[in-house]
Amino acid sequence: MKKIVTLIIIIAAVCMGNAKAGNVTFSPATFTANDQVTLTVDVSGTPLAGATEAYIWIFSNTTGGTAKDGVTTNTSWTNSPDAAKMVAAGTNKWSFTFIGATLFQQTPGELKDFGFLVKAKDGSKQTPDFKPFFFDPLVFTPSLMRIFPAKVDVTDAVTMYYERTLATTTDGQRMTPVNVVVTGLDENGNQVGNPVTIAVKVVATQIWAGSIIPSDNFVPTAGHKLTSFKYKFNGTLPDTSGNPTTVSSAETTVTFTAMK
Amino acid sequence: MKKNIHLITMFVLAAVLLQACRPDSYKSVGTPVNALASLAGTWQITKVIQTDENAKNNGFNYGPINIQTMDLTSVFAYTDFKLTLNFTNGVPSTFTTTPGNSPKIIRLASGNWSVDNPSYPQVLTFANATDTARVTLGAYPVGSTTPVLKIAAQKRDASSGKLLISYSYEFSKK
Repeated sequence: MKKIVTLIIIIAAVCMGNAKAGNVTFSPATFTANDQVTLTVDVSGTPLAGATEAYIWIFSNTTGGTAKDGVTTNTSWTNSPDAAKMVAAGTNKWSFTFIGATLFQQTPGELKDFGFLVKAKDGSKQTPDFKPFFFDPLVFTPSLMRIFPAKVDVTDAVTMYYERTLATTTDGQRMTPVNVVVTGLDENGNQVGNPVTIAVKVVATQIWAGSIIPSDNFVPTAGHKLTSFKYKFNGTLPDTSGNPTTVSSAETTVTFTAMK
Repeated sequence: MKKNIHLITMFVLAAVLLQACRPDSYKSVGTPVNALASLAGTWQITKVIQTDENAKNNGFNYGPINIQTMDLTSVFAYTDFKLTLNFTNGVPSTFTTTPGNSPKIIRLASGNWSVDNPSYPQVLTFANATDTARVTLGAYPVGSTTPVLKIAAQKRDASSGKLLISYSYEFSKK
């Protein structure tokens, strides 16, 4: 019996170690690591109840990954900086506004979640940890025709994709791409050299791709620069008799990003 | 008598313990790696990986395909590319590149090469009379019977300096 009571006490103590996440609200309710978010915490029932000022001590990736402290907030436990000062938001309620990627100096890809506690400036009082609160992942939005990498310079390898499931026309939905035609353009929008036709191959179900290095294929005349290119996919689809008919996608233009 | 037995026992135990406290003898870690010398020779590309650093930083994932990195090794004729690094009296001297049909990952055909730090080179500089190119070492080709030289190249937005694309090239010794 004594052992059971001890066990219950230990479990209760562990549970009390982390404050209820229900005491914390966010605006907006969901957010990515690139979004500005305001958290509001109710410290009633903690050592910070009744305090006239409050400071945040915030840390990332409590559930795994590379953990970091808030760069501007967690500089000294015994002397929190102004950057960590929370804003009064009602009786025993305090708010703090931040952008995860900026505060932790981690990329959205690295940031999974964060936790925090509220403390006195000199660290003499503190709440339990409030955690974990998860960042929403940034979502990649595919398009019918797109390139990899998303931004390229003239000397980069560029891969152009056609993802048939995203087509919005009947021809586009039925077309089986065969090649992609790429045309180089100068700063005036004039064609540079001749268009290049590249055979495409299936890289995943319903996705075709072809690659090019623009500077190897388009050499502008003296006094001009290669500044963009346009591309379209050619393919076939069966006509009403079942014979293959050639069709083309719309054309998409990509402007080069100057890189060093 | 009993006291004497205790004393003797304690003395023997102390002797055994003290004997056990001799410092361990560690094996030699060997001679330091000569990273610079390991670069000598003719190297040929075996692998090229392109990374969209923005997609990687954002943690983008997309079920059907990898949208953070792409293996370009067989997309273009990169495996044609050869790089020869020569030494004269233990010091980097001349280099030649033989691209074949490969994209020119180093645009100079020949010239002199140098390193930023002879003890622990990080950056290789290739130069001729009219042009200079720099690449960053990703790994020294040491500690293996089949040495692999890794070179990395980064491309940043010209105005913001933000890293946008990186390339990783792996070479094997010919």
